Amino acid sequence: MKKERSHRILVALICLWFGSHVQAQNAHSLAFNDLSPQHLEMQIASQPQFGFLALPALGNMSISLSNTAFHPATWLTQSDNASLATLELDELFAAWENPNRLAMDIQADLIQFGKFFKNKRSFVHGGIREVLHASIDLPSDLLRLLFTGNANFDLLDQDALDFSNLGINVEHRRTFYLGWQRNWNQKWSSGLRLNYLRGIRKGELSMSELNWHTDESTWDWTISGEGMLQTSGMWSLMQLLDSQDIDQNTMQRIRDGLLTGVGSGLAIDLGGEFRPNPKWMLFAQVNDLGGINWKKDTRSFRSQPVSVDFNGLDWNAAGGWTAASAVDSLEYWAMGMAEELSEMANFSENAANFQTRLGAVWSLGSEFTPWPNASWKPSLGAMMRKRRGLPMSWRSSWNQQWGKRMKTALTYGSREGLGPNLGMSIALNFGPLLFTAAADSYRMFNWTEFALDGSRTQPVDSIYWPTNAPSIHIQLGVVLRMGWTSSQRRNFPKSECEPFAVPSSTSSPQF
Amino acid sequence: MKLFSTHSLQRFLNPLCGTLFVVTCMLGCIEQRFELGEDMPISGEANPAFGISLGSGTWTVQQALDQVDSLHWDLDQASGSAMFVRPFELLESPPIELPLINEGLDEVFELDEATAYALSNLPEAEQLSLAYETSWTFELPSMDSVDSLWLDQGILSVFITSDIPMDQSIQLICTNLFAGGTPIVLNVEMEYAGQLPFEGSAVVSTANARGIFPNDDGLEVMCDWDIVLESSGTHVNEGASISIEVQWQDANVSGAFGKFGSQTSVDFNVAQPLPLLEVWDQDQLHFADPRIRLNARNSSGIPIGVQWNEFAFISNLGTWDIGGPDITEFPVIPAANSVGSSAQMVHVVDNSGTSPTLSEALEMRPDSAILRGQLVVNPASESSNFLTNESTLEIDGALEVPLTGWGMGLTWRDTLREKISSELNAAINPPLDWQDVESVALRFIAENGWPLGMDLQVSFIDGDDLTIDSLSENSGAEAFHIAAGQVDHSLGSADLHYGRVMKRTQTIMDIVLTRDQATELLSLDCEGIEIALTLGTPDAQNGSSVRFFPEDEFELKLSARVSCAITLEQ
Repeated sequence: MKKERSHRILVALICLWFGSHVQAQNAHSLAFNDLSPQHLEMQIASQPQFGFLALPALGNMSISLSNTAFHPATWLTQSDNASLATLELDELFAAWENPNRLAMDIQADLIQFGKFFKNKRSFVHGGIREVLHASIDLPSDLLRLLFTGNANFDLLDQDALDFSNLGINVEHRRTFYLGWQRNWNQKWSSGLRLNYLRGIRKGELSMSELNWHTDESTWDWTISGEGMLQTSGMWSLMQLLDSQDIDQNTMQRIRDGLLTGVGSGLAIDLGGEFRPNPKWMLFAQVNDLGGINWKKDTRSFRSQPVSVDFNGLDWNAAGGWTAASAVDSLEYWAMGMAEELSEMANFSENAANFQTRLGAVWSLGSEFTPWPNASWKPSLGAMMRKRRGLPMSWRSSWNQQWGKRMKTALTYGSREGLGPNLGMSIALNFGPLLFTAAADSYRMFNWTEFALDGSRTQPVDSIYWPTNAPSIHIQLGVVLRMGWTSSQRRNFPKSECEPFAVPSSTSSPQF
Repeated sequence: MKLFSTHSLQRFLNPLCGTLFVVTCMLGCIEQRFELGEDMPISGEANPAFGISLGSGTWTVQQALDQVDSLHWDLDQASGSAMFVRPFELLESPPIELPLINEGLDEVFELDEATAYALSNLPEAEQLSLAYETSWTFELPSMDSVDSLWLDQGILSVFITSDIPMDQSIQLICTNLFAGGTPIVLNVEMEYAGQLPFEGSAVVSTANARGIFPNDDGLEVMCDWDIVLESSGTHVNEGASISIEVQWQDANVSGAFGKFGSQTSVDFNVAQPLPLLEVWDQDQLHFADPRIRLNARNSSGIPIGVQWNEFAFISNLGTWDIGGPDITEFPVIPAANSVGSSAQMVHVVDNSGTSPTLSEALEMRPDSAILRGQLVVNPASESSNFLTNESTLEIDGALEVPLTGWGMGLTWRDTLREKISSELNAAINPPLDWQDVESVALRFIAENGWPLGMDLQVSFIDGDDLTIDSLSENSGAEAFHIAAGQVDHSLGSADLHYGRVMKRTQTIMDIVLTRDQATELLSLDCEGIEIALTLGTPDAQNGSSVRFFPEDEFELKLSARVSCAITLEQ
């Protein structure tokens, strides 16, 4: 049983791995932590403190989970003397009132490096990054369907269930990037990064409109909608998985597909930084400006706006209809309705190339460093980021250097409308290694135990689930710090006063 | 502690940050715990309801009537309404039999003195020709006069005995009997061999012969005799004769043209079962305009009258003779204009020409009808009749009952035997306690274009056919009433729309099976469903008639809704 479950999980993970997509996600708490190389993602015009060479596949790993739909702990109450929790339906409905989204983003840098040039006025970095994305958007009416049905007309708006904006999106891509950061003078610096994109797999279902109207008197249905499904690199994979015949050759083909990809594209990241004085810094940046042209194994299905009425079986047409053959008749009806829907929707199918955009992210931010010459260099940062199609993100940050070895940022903000939360990033230097850890949601620590006590005779089986963490983002990395020498080999001059404070990362990086 | 500097603010912030971090982690790790179980209470209301349209159908009156395939339905041409038709055959035969001719003729040609003397003095081998014209008259039964005849069989023969001692050649020409377009001729050659008398004969077939008879007095065959005598040198005595015997035998007449005499011919006697009428309850069903339609097709050239002996409806209780002008003044079936054509006649016997009326007679619930009488040939003694062996008289009829009238309290019952309780319990495994189901509603939406209201009663019965529960009791008496289509009763019977549905009526009926009823049904020993459908036309109690038209539509739509109530008492 365990083996079978493991197999299922493995298949699911493989599907997810092969099918994920889109937006590279980085912890916002790293925006002002310039000790970490990942700091470059948020401020491409800002120099990190060190050059680096990442350990393969370990230099930068990030996972971001979004869940605005399922937080059971917020739907339940349980008083001290109650043996069972109470499901609060009003809370449940309120939770589902807003757009509901489940998403997962994973990114990992296979190779990553960064090096200073021209007396540290330029910084060049590059790498290869795997990006996976999977998301599903669930309309409120779809989630509430079990509690409203389609025929409780007191609860329905205009007797209709609105499933519009139902969407599923999975994408997997590989990015080969090379960036150049330049300090033009004491005030201005800029950053540019070119990304060559290899699309590995793509699947996207989007329903721009889907309504299920039920007549209040006759209970007839009218289903109207318009949608689109486009895939690349998924069709053959699904066929393989469906065939249940995955042999060595098949696995090799899957692996080959992971290397070659099915699409290509370009994207750029641009940023500029302005320091009017040592205390203030302003920056603006855009990431992921570009897209992918999906060329191989493509399938696109598009429907015209369609409206289908269902009035039940036509007894006159269904000759010989009997209750005994009702199941067959219903199957016949369902097939007929599917055919009718297909005809009316006028589905157009083609295998033409299609393009997708990464979804540009625009950022504005500032940092105030009241004591720029202090060795602990405290600062306050603020940043706003906006990704197309998602609510604006913002984050404020308290940043502090802890000697040469550590820098931290405690942050507070909101990410893509997923509610306010605390975040933190730590960059820690141990000899030649530089560790980075960041998380954007303190709520991920708050978990709830759900004790299942169905029969009261069985042992209690518990499920643990985050209490209310709409967003969980964890980013980790370890790199080799360039220019590091051991303390035994260093020839420190004997100092007679306080050590010289660590300069700012942007003004005078130190090795 | 080079790591932690000594800036005054830093001295304050560092512990604060550390504390915040620790507190954050500690707070984050604090668990909530909820106990979940099957009996978990739910606060708030959620009453999901799922509705679906199961199906719909439209039935015209015509479609409904077609389902009763044991009965024949037609369209009443006069009103356009639907009509029950019970056809029957009354008669199919020649109106009268054609005659068979078996007639004979004897002729004697006797020599007078002068002829005998002349023949005696005729030199040997010299010839003398004699010519005579005779007519052969006889009568054909049932014909007052004959204009012509068609014959399809028969033999015409001539037998001659002569005591004239001469060779003789005798030719008989029937000038008004034709075969192949020419008169029929018989030739007899007789040679005298010294013995007297001596004989000769000839035979000819009259198959496919035609006869034309110009005289009005019976049938007269015109015969021309041509006798050639050749002298043998022997003396011929005065009074010597030639005896001729002509026979026309077995001559089948295939067509006779002339005037047929008035006479009765074929008797007919038809008993038509009427099983439906036997169970007719006149208090529940009234047909306003029944009728009997008689169709006659006459392919002979003879008008045929019908003389009724009995036109009646009978049952075990009695016999109801129908009189009235439609019976007593039954029209003459006309003659066909020409051979090969037919004359048609339709006669309708309806309430307006019968006494008692057909409606009254039918409401006596007869089990059959008796039609008995004779055919009267050429009752008006018309001339120029004809009759061939293909002439027939066909009379059939139909009892026609247009669906015009009223009905009330008509009940149709059926019992569906099924162990419902046990089957339901078996089907619901594990047992469904209907905890979350508040009710199951079946919605019937009827658009009734028929002039017929319907009341449905559904009862659950046990093994002894005793009613143990009734849906109508639970849902109210009026819950399953489908109103009839709207009829304008103010219109007169002559109006085109008299009794017709002018507007369809919509009725919405909900059969609601609540949780309590369902659980009760599961607990009962229900072994069947009894369905009683009671039908009635609008305003039937006042005798208002309606009419059913084949295109009248009845549309029924069935939808279902399951309403759930997942709010539980805590």
